[in-house]
Parts: sequence; structure tokens; C-alpha cells
Amino acid sequence: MKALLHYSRALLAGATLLLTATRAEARDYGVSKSSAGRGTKYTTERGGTAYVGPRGVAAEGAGGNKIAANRYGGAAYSGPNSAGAVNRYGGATAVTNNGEVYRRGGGAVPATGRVAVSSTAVVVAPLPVGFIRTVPVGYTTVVYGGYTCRYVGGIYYRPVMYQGTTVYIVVR
Amino acid sequence: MKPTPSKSLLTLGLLAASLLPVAAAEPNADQILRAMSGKLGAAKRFSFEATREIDPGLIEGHAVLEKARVSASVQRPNKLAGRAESKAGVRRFVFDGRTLALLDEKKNTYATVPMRMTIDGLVDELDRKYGFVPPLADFAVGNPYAEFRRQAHTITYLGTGKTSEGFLGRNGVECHRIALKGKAADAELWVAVGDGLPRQLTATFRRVGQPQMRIAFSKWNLGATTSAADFTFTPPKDAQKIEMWTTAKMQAARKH
Repeated sequence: MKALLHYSRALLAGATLLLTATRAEARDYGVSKSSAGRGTKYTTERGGTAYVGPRGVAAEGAGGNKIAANRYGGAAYSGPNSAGAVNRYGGATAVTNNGEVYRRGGGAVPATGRVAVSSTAVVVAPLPVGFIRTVPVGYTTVVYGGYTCRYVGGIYYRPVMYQGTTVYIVVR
Repeated sequence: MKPTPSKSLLTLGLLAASLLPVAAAEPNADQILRAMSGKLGAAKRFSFEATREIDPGLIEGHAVLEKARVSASVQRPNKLAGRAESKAGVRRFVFDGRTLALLDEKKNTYATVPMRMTIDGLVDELDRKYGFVPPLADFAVGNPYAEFRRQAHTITYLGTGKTSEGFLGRNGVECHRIALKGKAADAELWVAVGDGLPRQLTATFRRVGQPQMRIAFSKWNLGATTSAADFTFTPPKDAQKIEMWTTAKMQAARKH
């Protein structure tokens, strides 16, 4: 679980970096506009800030909520109670304040774990960064690094069996 | 001596009491669970089928419930074969007492690992080392009662109910309803009054939306005829053999 939190934090670090750009003030109807690096920063009277740059956008509310998105299709959210991120392929990870982890878009996952009332039942822990459950369409099967892999979009995916299902290691 | 009126009344009362039907004592949930466990544990070869429904809140990547058809064959002490079919594909599980084989039919991949042990040992080893257990394995171990007691801190008898099998429930089976309260979820197990075998299991998880998993058992066959072929794994043609990763290996990968 700790590792998963670290994963989300790492993704959110990207959002934070976007928010650290320098600025100049220019107020207009409660919203100020300023240049920030190669982009533009907007600030509201209520304490919110937003940055629009050539590689993405980022915003932070007065309450501490942060959100960021890049031009490559990735997005991240961080709030007082939860954090989440989604990548260009639709894979997402969200961590709530009680430590539960949900993932979406990573493909179908059969249930594992004991059937009755144990804590390990049914919900499958998310995969770490660098692993996916479904290879993008259009792949070809090739041998790479001594393993039979799927190859698509310049990326090799090596299948392994994990928790009773096939998952793929992303080999670049 | 002529009986006094009070003695007559007493005699009449006792006679009447003896003729009245004895008020049925409420069945003991623990005893029902023990009896069910004993029956399954004593069966040397058996098979069953089940339909399993899992609410979307319990499976990643699912917006609708997942329905799977599961079938299992058991030969004690060390042979187990299972098949689970859902929209996600077909998975097969074959254990012959020496080797465990897992097949993912949709992705045409399989993995084998040496496992020289009993079914109970296999379930524990998979849970401990690989982070999963075969579907419905709780009913294939030698002592399901111990497994349920380990997971449930309270067992209560709820009464009887009839399953909804057949047209308008005509083929429904009268069952004892047993409540199992656990740490992460509560479950209700239905055990047939007639043959003492499990018919339904509904587990409700203590999380947002209270998602459920529902299992309906069918086709119990405690005298199943199994053969070595049932527990022999032959990989499909062109299937790719892949490595089976432990949770420790995946944990290590997380750190990189």
C-alpha cells in the first residue's frame, strides 16, 4: 500500500512542478494573468491559481486541491482526502484517505482471493508502474531479450502470470 | 381411591402436553456449518458448479457486474481442477499433486510451478506466496469449517429460505440461512436442509456502496467419477509458457 501511495505521489510531483513557475501580477475582474516561464499563470482573488503552458495545464484551489493535465493525455489530482492519476491509455490509480486503492481502465480482472469474509477477498491490488493488464491493440509477437513479447508502438510487453492472470511488463 | 379434581386436572394436563407437538428448537448454525464441512471433507471425489456475480465496486476496470461460471473437480488429498468462464475469458486451473498449471485461454498463455503438496497446502501456499487462491477453494479444502471459523468471528442462524431455482422458483431448495460476520465483510451462507450442502453464498463488503459477491452453487456430485486425465494439464497448441510471479517479486518490482 505504501508503494502505491508513493506511486501516486510520484505522479503528483509532476503536477506540483508545473505549479512552481514564477509569475507577475495583472488583475482583471478578480483574475490576474501573468507570464510564467513559457506559459501563462492565472490567479483568482480567492486564492486559486492556474498555469497554462506549452506542455499542459495545472491548477491549485484555495482549499489545497491540485489538478494537472499534460498534452500527452495524462492527468493527476490531489486533494485533502484523496489523490489520483490517469495515463494516456486510460489506466488510472486513485488512493483514498482510508488507504483503499481503486484502478480503472486497465482491463478486466478476474476475482481472486478467498470467497467468504476475509480481507483479501475479491479486490485485486493494482499493478506497479511498468506493468499493465492489457496490451494496446495492433501488437505483433516477437522475441526480445530472450522472451517472447508483444510489440506495439515501439514498446515491448513481456507477459507474466501474476495472481492467476496474465499481466505484462513494459519493456522499453 | 377416587382421584381428587386437582389430580385429575394434572393428569389431563400431562396427557395433553404429551400429545402436543414438541416446539422445535432453533437449529444451531455452528452445527449446520460443521455438518456441511464434515460432508464435504469426507467426500474423496466430488465436483460442483457455481455461478459467481461480483459487483463492479469489487473489480477494477469494471463498470458492470462480472458474471462467471465456475466448475471444479476435487480428488482428495491432492488433485484439483477448475474452470472459470466470464466475459473476460476462460481461465483453467489444474493441480495434480506435483505441479500446478494455470491457463489463460484468451491470452493463450500458461504457467506451471512445482507444488508437491495436498489441496490444503496448495491453497495456503498460493495465498501466502502468490497472493491468490483458486476460485471457491474454501469449499475444496479438507476442513471448510475451520476456514470459515478463521474468517468469521460470529455465526448466527437466521432461519430458512428457499432458493429461486427453476421457473418461478419451482425447483427451489429449502435451506438454512447462516450469517457469518467477518472483519472485512459479512456473508450469508445457505445450506440445503435436505442434503446439507452449500447452495448460496452472498458476501457484502464493508466499503462504499456495500458491494456484494453472490455465488449460487449447483450440480453437487459427491460421488463424481474422476480420472487422471481430469487432472492432467496439456497446454493448447501454440500457447506461450510464461513465468509465474510471486507477490515478493512484484513487491520488489514496485520499489524500482
